[in-house]
Amino acid sequence: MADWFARGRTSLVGRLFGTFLRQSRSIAGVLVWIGIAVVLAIIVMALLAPFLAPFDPNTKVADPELPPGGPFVMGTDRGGQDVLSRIIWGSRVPLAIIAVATTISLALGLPLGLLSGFAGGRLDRAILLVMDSIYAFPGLLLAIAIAAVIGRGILNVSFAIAVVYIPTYFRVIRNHVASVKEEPFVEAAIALGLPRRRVIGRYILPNVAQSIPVIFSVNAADAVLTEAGLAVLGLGLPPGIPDWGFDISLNWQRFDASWWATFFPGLFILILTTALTFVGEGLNDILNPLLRRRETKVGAEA
Amino acid sequence: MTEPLLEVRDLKVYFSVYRGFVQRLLGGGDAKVHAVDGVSFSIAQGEVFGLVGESGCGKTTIAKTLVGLVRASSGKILFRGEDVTRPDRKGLFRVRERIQLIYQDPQAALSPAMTVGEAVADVLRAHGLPTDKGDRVHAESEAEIRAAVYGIFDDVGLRPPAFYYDKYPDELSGGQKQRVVAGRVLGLRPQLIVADEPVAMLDMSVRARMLEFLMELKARHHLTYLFITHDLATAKFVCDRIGIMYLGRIVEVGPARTIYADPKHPYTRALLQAIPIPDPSRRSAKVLPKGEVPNAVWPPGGCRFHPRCPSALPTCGWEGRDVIALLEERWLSIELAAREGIAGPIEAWEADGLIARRDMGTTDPHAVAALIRTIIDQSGGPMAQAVRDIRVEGTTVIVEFRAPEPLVPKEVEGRVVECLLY
Repeated sequence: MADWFARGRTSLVGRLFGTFLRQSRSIAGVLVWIGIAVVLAIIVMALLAPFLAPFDPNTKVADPELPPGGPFVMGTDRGGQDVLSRIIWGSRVPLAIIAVATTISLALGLPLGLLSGFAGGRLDRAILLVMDSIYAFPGLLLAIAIAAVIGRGILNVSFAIAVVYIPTYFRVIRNHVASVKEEPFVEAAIALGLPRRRVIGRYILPNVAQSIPVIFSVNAADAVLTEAGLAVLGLGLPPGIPDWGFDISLNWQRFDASWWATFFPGLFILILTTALTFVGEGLNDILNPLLRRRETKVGAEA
Repeated sequence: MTEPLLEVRDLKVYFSVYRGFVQRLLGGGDAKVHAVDGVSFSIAQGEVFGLVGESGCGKTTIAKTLVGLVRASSGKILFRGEDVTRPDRKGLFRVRERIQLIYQDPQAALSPAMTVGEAVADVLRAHGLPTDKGDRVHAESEAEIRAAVYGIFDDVGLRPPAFYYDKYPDELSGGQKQRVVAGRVLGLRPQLIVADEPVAMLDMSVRARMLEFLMELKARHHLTYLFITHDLATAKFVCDRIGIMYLGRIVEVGPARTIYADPKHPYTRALLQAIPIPDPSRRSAKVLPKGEVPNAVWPPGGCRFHPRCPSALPTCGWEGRDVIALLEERWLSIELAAREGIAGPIEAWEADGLIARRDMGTTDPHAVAALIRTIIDQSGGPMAQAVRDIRVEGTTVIVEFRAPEPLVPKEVEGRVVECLLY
């Protein structure tokens, strides 16, 4: 069983990675590389926060609302804290939430999508109904409702965001499975007498897996925004933890007096989401064969 | 005669057509595609039996039913005398070790995300390694499975096996992929192989080689083939006996040589005439079937081929909708449609079994009845003689046909034909 898993995984990841590398010099490939570089830089920033941040993010180090300049590259906020230090420390929150939330929604959305798409019939319709009703809620609203019920904290916020994205994974995987299921090689695997679990795991999953990195990066970008939204509304993390969204909520009413305390956290949210979107859209162009086919056609005409 | 390897008796496979709730409420009952409608044949050990027919005639459905991908609606499938029509889960697993399918398109039959070596190994993991004693043992190690796959690759001519093991399907040619597919099936040591158009997707240049390869395998592994094809020329090359299928039924079945030398059923004749002869100086008079293959949801009554048959008889099963089809075809000419406008439009006619009728409303039904009579008489042919009566009831014009003669398969000169000509 262990080596079954290992073999399926290596060939799968290897194949996806190979497809990506072959096309990494296309426009889409460059987008992905830029996105990856920016995200990696932010990850490094988060990991090295204790060394990079010039001041402690939670103590008053100077007068409130000093403009950018001198030792305070991005100024100080209304509490007299260094904005740059808070941004560096604050990068940990969105990254942690992306990691936890997307893992939870993938862990639930993927198996449900595989099951629903493969089984079809009534089970499929029942799962679809539940997922569609989750999907019908505006994402932020649903996250607010869940966060309001279960309270603050990284895990709670991640869970609230994860619930919002389960249907995205589910939908994409389920539809992809439903179409791959009709391929003769799946029928052939069944005709060869292979057990159902194996047919799903070895014949269907590897052929729908190219959707996963795409949804992952698009959802991650969205998750950053949702988290910031929750924080602005006061439903994010407990006070004391530096967080971009929380900093915006602290300072935005003083925008006229000290725009930098709101502007720089917002800018970093923008940078991270844009980078993740670059990765997602670029991968989509590369790994989604339908788009790729369209591209070659256009190329042939030119 | 010894017991046949496979015997199929009066097999019927219907598929329900999904109709919406409202449609069902509005009536018309349940619609069903009569994919296979009463087919019987048997295959002896070591034989190559060909099923030949146009696409949509039900040959692939038969293949899928044999390996349990599709459920038979009724009838029986006997394998070495054992009933395998509706096996349970375990039974199905065993059936699939003995009856296996080779697909038309080897590219589509292999997962693009799996190396071809793994594709074969996977089957051996699920079913165990066949031993010389005829049973199966589960492999002790991955190395043992790999060795077995090498053996299979060597057997199907993929040499050196180690070179091919880690290839993905896109990296192989069509012929090589078909060898992988054959190897994957042979790993199960099946007794009957159902080959569904195994060479149709291959280039002309490798077809003959592939057919030879299949025959080599047959000799080496004592296989029996059910060979499904739409191509009579291919079937002639490999089959001992053939069955000609049309719209879910076998119309003629017998030794291939007999049928090729002297086809009896009009449909078989038409198919054989359609084979091109590579000699420009020989021009054969071709009598091809007219029109299209009818819809299998409502197959024609009587002999299914009668609406297209060049030698149909008045007793072949003419019915109400044949008149409507005649009118429809006739009124494709704008001139005729205008001149015979009082009988139209075609949508106002309805067929009900042997009857076609049209409610004329305020128009004089007698004039229309007379017109229809003229049209049918003019068309000549067997349909005109099959009409029992054209009459008027109230405002409705009714065309009624005589009931057809029952169609029973008959032994004719060494083969069985289902046709009223004999």
